[in-house]
Amino acid sequence: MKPQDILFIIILAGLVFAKKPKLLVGAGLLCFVLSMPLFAHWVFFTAERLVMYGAGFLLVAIIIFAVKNL
Amino acid sequence: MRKNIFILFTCLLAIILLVIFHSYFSSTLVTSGDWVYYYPQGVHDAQFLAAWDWRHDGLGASILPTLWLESYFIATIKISLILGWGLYEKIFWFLPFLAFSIISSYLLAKKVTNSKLFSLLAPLIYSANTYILMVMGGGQVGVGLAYSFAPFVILSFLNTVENTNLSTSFVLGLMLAVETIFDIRLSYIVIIALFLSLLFFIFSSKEKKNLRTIFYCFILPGIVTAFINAFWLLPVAVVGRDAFNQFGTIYSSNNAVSYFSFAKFENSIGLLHPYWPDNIFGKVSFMKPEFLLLPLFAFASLFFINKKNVREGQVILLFALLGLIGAFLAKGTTDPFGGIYLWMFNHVPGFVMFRDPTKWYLLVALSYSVLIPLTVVRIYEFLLIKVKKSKYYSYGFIAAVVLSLLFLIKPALFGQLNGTFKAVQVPSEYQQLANYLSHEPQGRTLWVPTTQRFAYNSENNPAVSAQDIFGIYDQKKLIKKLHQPGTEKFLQDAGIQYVIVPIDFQHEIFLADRQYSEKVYDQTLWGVSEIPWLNRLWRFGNLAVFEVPTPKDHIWSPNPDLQIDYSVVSPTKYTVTVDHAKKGDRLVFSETYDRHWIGNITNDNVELTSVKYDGILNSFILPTDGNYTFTISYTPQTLVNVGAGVSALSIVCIIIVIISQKKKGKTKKI
Repeated sequence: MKPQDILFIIILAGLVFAKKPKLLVGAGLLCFVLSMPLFAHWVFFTAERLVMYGAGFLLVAIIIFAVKNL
Repeated sequence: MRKNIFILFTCLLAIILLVIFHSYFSSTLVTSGDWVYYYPQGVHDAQFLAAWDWRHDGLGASILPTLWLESYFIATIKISLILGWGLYEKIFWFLPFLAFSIISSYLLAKKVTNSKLFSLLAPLIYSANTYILMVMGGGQVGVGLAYSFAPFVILSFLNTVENTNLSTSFVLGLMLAVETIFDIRLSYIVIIALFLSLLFFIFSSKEKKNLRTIFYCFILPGIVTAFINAFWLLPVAVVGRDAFNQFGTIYSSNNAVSYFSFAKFENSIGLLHPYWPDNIFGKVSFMKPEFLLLPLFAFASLFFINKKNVREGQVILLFALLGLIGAFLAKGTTDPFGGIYLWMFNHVPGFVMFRDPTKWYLLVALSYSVLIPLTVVRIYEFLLIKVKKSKYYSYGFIAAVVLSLLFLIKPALFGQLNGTFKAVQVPSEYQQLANYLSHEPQGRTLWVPTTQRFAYNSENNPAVSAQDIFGIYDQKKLIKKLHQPGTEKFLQDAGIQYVIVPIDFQHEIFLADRQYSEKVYDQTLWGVSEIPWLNRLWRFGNLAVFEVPTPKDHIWSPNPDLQIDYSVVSPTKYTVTVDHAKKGDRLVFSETYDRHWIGNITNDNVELTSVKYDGILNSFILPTDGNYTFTISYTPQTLVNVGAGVSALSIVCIIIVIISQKKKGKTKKI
């Protein structure tokens, strides 16, 4: 497990604990935004990781939204 | 004012799509990739719903595994004799793709967003994203048609959920049946999407009508689909695995699925096809970061979930989830959690069809074509209400979205895409060969190393790929094989009349490092020219055609004293008379071996089973001395015929029910 993975898990846990799915959506989209310049500069490893984290944040957001709304 | 803007946007969309798909609006050929071309002479004898295809692989093959799409193909192909192939392919394949994908995606987006204007973004996203442009460019038109039809199925499903009754349920079943005929794999994906949607709506529903909803929204449409598709489902269910064995392990091994997992997660979530824009198999381009704008726009819709509009929130969540699932599966076995795809490939029923995981891009495209218009409409409304000088900001925002979407598909707008986006002509040498062969008696042509797309292929003169018949895909080894003793006899036995080295006009056969190589062509031509038992015919210009001495007939015997006469009733039935046979004489039937070919001796009611000959052909051992009259038939044809009857009857019944239900509804309203 890489340091960035641990950071992702910590942030994810914090946001899940806060139970504010829109924050998770924001974090997910921010990951996508941050990965764009990295891809442009061929920093592929971190950029790819950011996209995966982004999707992870969004997935958890969808689950929380669903649990709250359904 | 709003109406004018709608008309303006519609015109703009039409112009954009016209620029991208301009090659679909002319009668010139766009044959490329998997999209075939048939000469008029090769179309005449195509037979609807035949279980065996003479032309498949040149030596014939069971058509059951792909009978769904073949049924549409063969049902329409003869119209090409009137229209010409160029017009036929546009009217029955390419333009329906375009029309379906535009209309279906627009209607689906309109259903969700309730905005006519912003729903116009959906066709731009759905019909002109890199995935579908590469699919259509590569000539996978069946996949394209299924892709274009998928939003109709989802739309019917949403209608059925809203208004659950027999009529909407049957319409959904009809839609799903059509989707299945176009492509079983995309239909499978749509069924998964429907299943997830159903779960979503059931859990979110406060009404306790779940069983009714499950029946009308899933089970009944499933039954309707199965009945309409009985013409191929029934024989496949009975013949089972045999129908698929012809593909070998190349379609079902773990190595194959890992090899075909070209897309990375950033590709799939960015709706960026890994081959964009060159569309060369295996040539994966670097991630283009601008494509992450698409998930940004799409998933930003999650910000607009609120408790005032629960229904819209549910739809956003559903499509966002479908998008994520699609992106996760479309990357196949690559990170993250690639092992899950491999596990599903080995354990989930039906998943074996997804050796190429990019088919799952369908879910991403569906998701984004709904969510992006939704995000745009909500931001537009937000700007109108909250920001001063809002009109300018709002229009500026829309312009920015449209321009960024167009920027993503820049190569398509500037005519840089190849494949079916470029017109082609039949080269004169191939036309000349077609004219010559169409007047020849029955005999196959062997193309070294493989068939060219303009190779003449008819029931009388099927084109055989040397690579496929020998199972050798290395050029040098293939030439070596042709030089081996025994090859001459093998080709004669298989009824190969000519060996041809194609001219590679489209630079897709003689390749070295994915580029056309004159050297590879020269080596192949030289290698074939050196074969002593081949005589070159010089009448076809640069097209190197060699004659094989004394090829055998379609039905023949190693015993030269046997007098054989046969007639072709259909691709799956032959009548044969044999005189002066001795017990144990062998009758070779020159089609790919399949144990479902049987011989029935007339009067005696004796059944002869097929025995492999030369490791590839069918043969029948005659049981007694004497004269014979018997039929050779392919038994799954009976099941196809029964299934076709069930399909036809089902369609009639379903249409009657839908019409009667509609009439009932009207009467009630009155």
